Amino acid sequence: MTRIAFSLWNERIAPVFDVARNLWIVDASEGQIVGQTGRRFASDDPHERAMRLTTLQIEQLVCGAITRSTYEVLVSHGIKVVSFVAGDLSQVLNACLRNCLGDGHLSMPGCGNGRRKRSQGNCRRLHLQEQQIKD
Amino acid sequence: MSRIKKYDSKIVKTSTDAILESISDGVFTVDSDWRITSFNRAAEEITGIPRRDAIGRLCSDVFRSNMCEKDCALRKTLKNGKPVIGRSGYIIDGDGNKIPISLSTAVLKDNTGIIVGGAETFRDLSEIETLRHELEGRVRVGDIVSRSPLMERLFEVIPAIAASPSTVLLTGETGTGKEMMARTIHSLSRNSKGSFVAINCGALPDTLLESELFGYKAGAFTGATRDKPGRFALAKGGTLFLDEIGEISPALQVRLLRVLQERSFEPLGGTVSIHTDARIIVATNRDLAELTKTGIFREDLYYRINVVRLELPPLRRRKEDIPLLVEQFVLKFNRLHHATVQGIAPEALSLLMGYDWPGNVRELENFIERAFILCPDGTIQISHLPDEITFHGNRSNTKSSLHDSRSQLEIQEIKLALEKNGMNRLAAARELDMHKTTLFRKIRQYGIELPEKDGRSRNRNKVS
Repeated sequence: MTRIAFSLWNERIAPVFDVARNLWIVDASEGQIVGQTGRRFASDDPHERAMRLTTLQIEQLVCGAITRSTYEVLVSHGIKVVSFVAGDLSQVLNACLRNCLGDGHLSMPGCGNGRRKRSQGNCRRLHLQEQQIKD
Repeated sequence: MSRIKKYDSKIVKTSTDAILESISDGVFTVDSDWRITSFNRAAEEITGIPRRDAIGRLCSDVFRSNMCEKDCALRKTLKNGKPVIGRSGYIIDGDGNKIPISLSTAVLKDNTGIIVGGAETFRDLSEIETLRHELEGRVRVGDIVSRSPLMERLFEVIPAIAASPSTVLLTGETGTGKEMMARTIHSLSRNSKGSFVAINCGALPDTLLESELFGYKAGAFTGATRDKPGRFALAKGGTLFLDEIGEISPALQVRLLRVLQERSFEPLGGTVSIHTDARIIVATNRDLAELTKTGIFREDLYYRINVVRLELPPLRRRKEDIPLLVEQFVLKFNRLHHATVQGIAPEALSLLMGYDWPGNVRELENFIERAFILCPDGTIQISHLPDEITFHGNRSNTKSSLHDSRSQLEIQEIKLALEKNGMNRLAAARELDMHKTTLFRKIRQYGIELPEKDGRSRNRNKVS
């Protein structure tokens, strides 16, 4: 089972993790959700945020833009960070469960090539399916 | 007629576009759904996002500012119709760099006056920030700023102390910035990649402090349903900061001494020792040497933690830092409160310089924060300062008058000049641009007490 946190704002991935207040925590196993809940950050201090995530036993964080310093603090705490992600929570969650966040279709503008290595996976089909649903 | 109108609008559009493309400020516009409708050349350069990628996307995904989530300036403008001018913040580029900006907003209306969206202009302040940091370079170590010779002496040794793995003892009055100094040492040390874990030993009862420091194993006591790592474990590869070390009980002092000597500890209920490589920094505002004499603090622990000792001077001994600290706090609270305070009026600063600061830097910070509540823009004036400063030296119940205020300012100016000149009255008189006899008269008149030592004599303590 993997515990993944999504930084959340208005049912979307929060644009800037460094100041994001809310987290949506999902326990996933074999691509399925086995539990989910919401939590809040009390501080903007990167170390305290990292401690909070560690205490919540988060293994992976999916977030929007993040400063390099905060990113490094989280990584030093052993948290895998998938950053510069944009989109509705349901869309991102779906892509995450299918290990598809790396293909860039949910990246923030100007970050399409994935500055930081993300989970790799061929998600073209999923992306096309989503497009068809939208159309 | 319609042809002329069409022609005119085309000219206007072309010239507006030309202007927008030529200016160095980034400009973008959004529609009513918060999607970007235009994005000029400077906006592309500052954000590093090509126009084709930005157009049609939500502005928060493109702009990525610290204000987007909680305090969007454009949202406010569209709500109340009032533009926001010169608000400071930062955006994050695709490489995770924080780009300081100032931004302004405006409402976009169509020909009939209906609001169709908003416009935001922003300016890259990176160069200004870099210049500011270069200017500050000589007086800044980590987050600590100072121009005081006392602090400069500390700044000189901090890099060497940070590089060593030795335990550091920070002493100084409350509010002098001991935790900030500990964080600075951590950030400059080899352990900076690890966590900085702070705990206030005076804030927790003994048993709780023990479990907080060393952690516990499941079943160690009722309610301990699973293992909990302690602060020593959390600070692995980093720094553990033990504040108010003088408050811990004798029993815990023994356990702490063992950890410091053997670099290992056992969680409550545990049977296996855990090795710790955390750098230890301790702090206290009490005189530990005195506490060892009275038996409150163990002598062996005192010698164990007193390897490298740094004493932080109180603010009253480094008053030359007050203008710099005020500037720092104004910048900080402008950022935090999204305010536009320009600075502090000279007469208000003069009052701050004359105050004794029993609460040190923390007290100064609180005073500035208070001033921000009363004065969210413009300049901090005397009226925005608390009573302890404005009535300093005159705590009688009589009504304050203009004459009183002048006297207060004069007393503070004299005290400051004396302090700056090592209590040498002649030098102080020269600095105040007054005759020495006038200064002597004023010292007598205001009853300003002078220390035993001054620039001239060793035997006087008062002008009589």
